[in-house]
Amino acid sequence: MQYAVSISTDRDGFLRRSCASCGRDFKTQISESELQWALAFQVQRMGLDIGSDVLSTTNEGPRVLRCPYCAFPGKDQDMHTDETVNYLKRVILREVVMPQLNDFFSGLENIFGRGGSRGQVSIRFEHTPGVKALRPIHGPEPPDMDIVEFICCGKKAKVAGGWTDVQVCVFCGAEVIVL
Amino acid sequence: MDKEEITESLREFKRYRDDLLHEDTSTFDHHYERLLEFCKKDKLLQSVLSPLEQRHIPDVDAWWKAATNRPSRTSLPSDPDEELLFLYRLLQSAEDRPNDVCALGIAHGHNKQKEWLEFFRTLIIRPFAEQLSNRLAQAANLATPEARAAQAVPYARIPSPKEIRIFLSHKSVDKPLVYRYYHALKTVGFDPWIDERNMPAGANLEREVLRGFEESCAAVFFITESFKDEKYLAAEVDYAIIQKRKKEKKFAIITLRYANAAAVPGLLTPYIYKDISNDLEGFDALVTALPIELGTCRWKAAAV
Repeated sequence: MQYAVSISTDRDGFLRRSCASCGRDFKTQISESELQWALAFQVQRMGLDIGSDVLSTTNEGPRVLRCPYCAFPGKDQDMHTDETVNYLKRVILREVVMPQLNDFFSGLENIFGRGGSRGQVSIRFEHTPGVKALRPIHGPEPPDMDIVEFICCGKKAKVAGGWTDVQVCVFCGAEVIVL
Repeated sequence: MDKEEITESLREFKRYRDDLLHEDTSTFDHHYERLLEFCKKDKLLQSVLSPLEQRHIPDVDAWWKAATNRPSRTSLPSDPDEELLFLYRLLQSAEDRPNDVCALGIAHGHNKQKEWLEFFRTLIIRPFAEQLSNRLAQAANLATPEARAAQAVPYARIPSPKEIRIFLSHKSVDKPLVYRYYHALKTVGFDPWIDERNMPAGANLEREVLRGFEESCAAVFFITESFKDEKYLAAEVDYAIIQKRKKEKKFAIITLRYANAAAVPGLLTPYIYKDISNDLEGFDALVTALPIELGTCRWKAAAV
């Protein structure tokens, strides 16, 4: 099964995040494997046993990100904005869940739709697949916030303009000071 | 528009857009009206749509007529600007044409109200939303200055002010040469140590030199024709080696040997050693070998 997921980053290549603890927004750069993890996690969260292929295509595990405002450490997939989570859910609903439901109901129709034979109590089942849900759109992402380069691991994040009280590295957790 | 206004405008747009695209059809009218209203009044959206309105006059009546007849024709202009405006006008005109929206759906085999609306969303609203989203991203980028960058440095990599000096060891006769290094280092932001400058009058020479070494992260030896490994210079070589043993990677012994100079003292040969032909080469070798580095680029106070 293949489908396209296109996450919108800002002009500088940063994806908006939201701290799972304090709720404030920051941004990080995101790789394809991280996007796969985020998607696989949403697939699993939606209660489907179809995430194994997605998970096995990457060797990297989900990383831990630390909030630049409150230093809360959270798993990568827990630090997405509602907008991104809703987008991923809509993609999964459209590309995975709805086709499976349609297959399932078509199967029921084949089983029950013929009606019963003599001497049996039967039900009839008819299923009309609905119009396919619209392909969701992610973004556009405004080029807001200021870049902070963490020289401990050479990675960059974006934090709210004027916020200089970053105390730990978003990526490795080292204690830092913004100069 | 400032950064915050643009961010807020995009946030609102995305909310209205996604509500209209994905919410239940029972609330379609409400979300439809809200998005159209937002398109009319928002400054960022108007900065995208207004210039198009001045350039093109779409004939939506003809389109509706062709689209609701059988066979239905729903082609749109090929020019991207014209197409976006056309979609916008179709969206606006649909408010007064509920029967045409219905007829459009029926012309394409959709006989229930929910299906007409889904078809209208697919044919008009989603392409409009996608194209407008792309235009808004461009408009937001153009209107927003480049992001500023700061550096976050781990505490472990921030030295104390008492360990970042650069001890310049030399023969008195080489002072003019060493002062060129002293000034260059100072100009770029390092903290060089030279006896004449850093020793208070009347200070004990041995003690001050030793303190100079203790507060340094590097000792630089200038090997010129006049260098001799004796007296004070010999003592400074010894001090440097003691500091190196004590501070390990956080202390560098850097030896710069000019052309036709004396031999490098045996005690210094295991450390960084560079034959140089001019000051610039020497400065490059020195800065490269230092265990400290300078921070991010910034405007000078006078420039801002």
